[in-house]
Amino acid sequence: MNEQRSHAMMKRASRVFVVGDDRSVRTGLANLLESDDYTVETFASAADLLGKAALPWSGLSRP
Amino acid sequence: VLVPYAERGDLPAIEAIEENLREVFHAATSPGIEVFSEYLDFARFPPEQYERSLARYLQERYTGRRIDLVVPVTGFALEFALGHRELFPGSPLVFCAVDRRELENLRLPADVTGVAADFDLRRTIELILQLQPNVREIVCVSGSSGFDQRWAERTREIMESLGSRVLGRWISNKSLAETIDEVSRVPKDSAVLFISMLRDETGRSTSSVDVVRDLVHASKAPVYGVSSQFVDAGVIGGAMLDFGANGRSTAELVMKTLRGQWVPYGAPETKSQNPLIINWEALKRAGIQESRIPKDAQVQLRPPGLWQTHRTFILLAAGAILLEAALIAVLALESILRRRAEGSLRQSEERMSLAADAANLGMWMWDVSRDEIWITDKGRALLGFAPDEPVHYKALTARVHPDDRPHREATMRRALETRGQYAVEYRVVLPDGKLRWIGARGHCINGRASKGMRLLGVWIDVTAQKQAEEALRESEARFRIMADSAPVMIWMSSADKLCTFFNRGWLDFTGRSLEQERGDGWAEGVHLEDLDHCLKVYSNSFDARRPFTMEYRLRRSDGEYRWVLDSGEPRFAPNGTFLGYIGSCIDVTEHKRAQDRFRLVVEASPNGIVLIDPKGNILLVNPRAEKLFGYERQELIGEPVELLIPERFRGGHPAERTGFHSTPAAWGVSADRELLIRRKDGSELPVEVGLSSIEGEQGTLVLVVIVDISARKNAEADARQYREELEHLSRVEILGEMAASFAHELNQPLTGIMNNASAGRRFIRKGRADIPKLDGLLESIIADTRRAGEVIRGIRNMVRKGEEKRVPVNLNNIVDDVMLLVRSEALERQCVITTELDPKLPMVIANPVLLQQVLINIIVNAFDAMAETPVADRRVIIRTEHETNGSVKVNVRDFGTGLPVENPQRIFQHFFSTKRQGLGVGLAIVQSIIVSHGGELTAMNAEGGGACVYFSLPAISGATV
Repeated sequence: MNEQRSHAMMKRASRVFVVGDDRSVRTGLANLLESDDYTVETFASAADLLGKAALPWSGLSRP
Repeated sequence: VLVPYAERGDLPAIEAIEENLREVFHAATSPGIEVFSEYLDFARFPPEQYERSLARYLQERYTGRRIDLVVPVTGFALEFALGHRELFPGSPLVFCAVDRRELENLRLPADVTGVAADFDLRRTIELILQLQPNVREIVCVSGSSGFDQRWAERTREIMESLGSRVLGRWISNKSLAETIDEVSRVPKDSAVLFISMLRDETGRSTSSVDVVRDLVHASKAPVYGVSSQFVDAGVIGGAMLDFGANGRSTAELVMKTLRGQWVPYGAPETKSQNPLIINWEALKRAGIQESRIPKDAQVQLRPPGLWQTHRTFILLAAGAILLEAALIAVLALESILRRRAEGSLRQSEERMSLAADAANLGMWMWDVSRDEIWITDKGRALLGFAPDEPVHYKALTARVHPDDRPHREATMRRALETRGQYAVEYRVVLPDGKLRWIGARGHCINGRASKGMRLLGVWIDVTAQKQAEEALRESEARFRIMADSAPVMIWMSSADKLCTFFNRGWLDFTGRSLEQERGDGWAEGVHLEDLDHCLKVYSNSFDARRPFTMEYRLRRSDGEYRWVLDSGEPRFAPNGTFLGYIGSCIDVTEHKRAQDRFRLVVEASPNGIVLIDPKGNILLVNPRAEKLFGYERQELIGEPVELLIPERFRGGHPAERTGFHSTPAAWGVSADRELLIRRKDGSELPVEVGLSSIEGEQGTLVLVVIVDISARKNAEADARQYREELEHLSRVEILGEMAASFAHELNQPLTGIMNNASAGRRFIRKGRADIPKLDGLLESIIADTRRAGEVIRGIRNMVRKGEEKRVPVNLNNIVDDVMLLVRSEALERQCVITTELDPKLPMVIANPVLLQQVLINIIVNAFDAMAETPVADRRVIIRTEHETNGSVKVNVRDFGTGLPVENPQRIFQHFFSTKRQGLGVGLAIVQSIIVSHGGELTAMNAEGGGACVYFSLPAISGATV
């Protein structure tokens, strides 16, 4: 149980970026991930992702 | 002419004959006559002794002379001439004073004639018995020559024939002295009848006239004789031979003979003339009562009576007395009559003046010898004389216009010379310089003597009449000029139907003179087949005094008969009097030929033709129209054209017809319109109608050409159906090509729906399903469902066969709809589609599905063209814009391989394709769709590579999104 709780807390701590040009697919997938306790951010395109998101990893740079 | 006298020339009888012969001959001018006289003196030179030498003498004398005619005088000369015809061969004989009894014994040749002499002893003896009824005896005295003896014998025969009525005694064959002595002893109550004595018993030649004079002197008894020469010698009378008359008759017979007119002996003019003559003096001397003179006797030597001797004086005296008496009576009567006449004259003058003034007449009278002029006040006014101004003839003449004076003077002078009437018109110059026309009329009175001769006349102001006449002349001249210059033939007729005038146009047309055409002459030029009808129309219209119009053939100057349209109008004077007709003709031959050609064209036309009058009634239909409408021709003529229009359209048709008549030009000559007509059986037929206006006599006529387009309509429907089938197949084809894209496009919302639904269930299971969260999920599901539905609807529309409905459409919406369908395909092809849409785009009338088909075809072709294009360059730009010409333009730009350089438009041809697997019908259908919407489709290579395909459609004016 604790393991499950800790797993859930780990999911909340992580963020999922959903990038897709189709709003329905993007929104549906984001809702589904959120229902599984993920924190989700959606972006209509890669450029949008790179421009708006605070990326947690280094080494990546904007195109 | 040779005149042989049997006796000597100094005998009274011979002298009388010769005098009358010469008188007649000399008077004759043709032929001219030369007369030779020969006095044979047979009494003293007996013919039996000298005849031969005489003949020889005459032969020698007249040798070489031409004697045309011989006139023997008395019997011996005739006997000599007959016995010596060889002297003058071929010359006829015209004898004179030949004893009738002697002629009875001669057989006269045919060329012998003449005047007989006859002593009418019987009538002389009867005269003696009438004058002296109780005469004792009649003593007959004669000489001894053969002539004397022959007549004595004749007398004896007559006396014997009288029997006891009278006693005769004879004194003959005695000397002249014995004869006179014996006669002196004849008793007073007897009578002496001298017969003839050319020679007495002693052989002495005597003159019977001298003998008679001696006997009268010696005799106590009345002496009678038988020759007119004896009257002056003192005989009482007798039936006397007139030798002078005998000679004149003979001379006239000669003239006739010389002129070739032969009068045979025995004709009346050859008879002897023996009038009964009485010597009035001798009668009185013998104491014989005048009452015994026969009524047929000529009384000579009657002494004139008082009347005869003083007839002139008596007449003069009687005349003077009568004249004086008459003068006295006339003077007395004249005195009475003068007083009456003066009174009557005054009254007459007053009445005449009143009448003249009432008639606006001026009167005047001119006493020629005294040069006194009486003139009425009106007359003075007419000639501009003051009331107290003295007027004489010179003053009158001075008033007359100088140009008119000679004619006026001549007219007045002629009236005076002929004592007759005059009438003349002239101008007078009034004192103020104005001209006045005067009509003068009058006559000469008291015209038997120059003294007292007067001219009486009236004047009237005829200025207005003259001006009217002048105006009429000018009017007639103007009319003639106008008529002659008119481009039509003009004629006029009088009230008797006879034509009086033809203008130059008519005469030039017929080539005849005015004289030839006048009266009924014009009818000679009318074609015989038309003449009866022509004259009938003319005469009937004339009698009814109504206008007429007729057509007939008239012979032109070159002999060709031409159709003319003749229009006649009755003419009336201002007072309503019928004056005749005036008419005009125009040559309508070409018009009639055009009519014939028109009729032929109409009859043979493959299209229906209907002619309609301004009231909308049918005038003409052709056979094709009969077949189209199912009516017989006679069923349509005169009927309203609405009969041929479906009932639901009839109400508005009269207004349309009126609109056409008011502005026919606006409808155009060939304003084809697609309509429905109603056939006799009630069925309807689609037609195309062309309207033309024709100006006719009845106004504007409408010529309707009707084309049956039912077959064409059917063909069009078939074509439309084929096209729609093709369009549908094309849509199905392209949908098939895009099936994967469509599946992807449908899968996207379905994926969304699946994820949202799964998420909802998880929230619920984990107990974190709050209401707002679930509401958001359901909203997304609904949106995705709608989206999927839109895709499905679009695909279904593209696939479905449906009626072509054209509605107002915003092309921006079409672009959005298409973007929904091709987005997945674009992703699949790694192409980017961008739109640049004009927000103020006007609406167009179109079928939205077909426009979507157009746009999808163009976009998919753009994708295909960019298959080899680097992914980064695969772009499609869709732009809408409102063009300045009012149309809406949709432009699709790609960056692919571009179009064939030589002919970019080939891509719109059927079965042309640059793609390996393409049928080549897509863009061809696209073009047909755009064209069917009234638009244009164009393709060209774009700058910088790729192609640009755009289409434009007509915008709805003022309609925007």
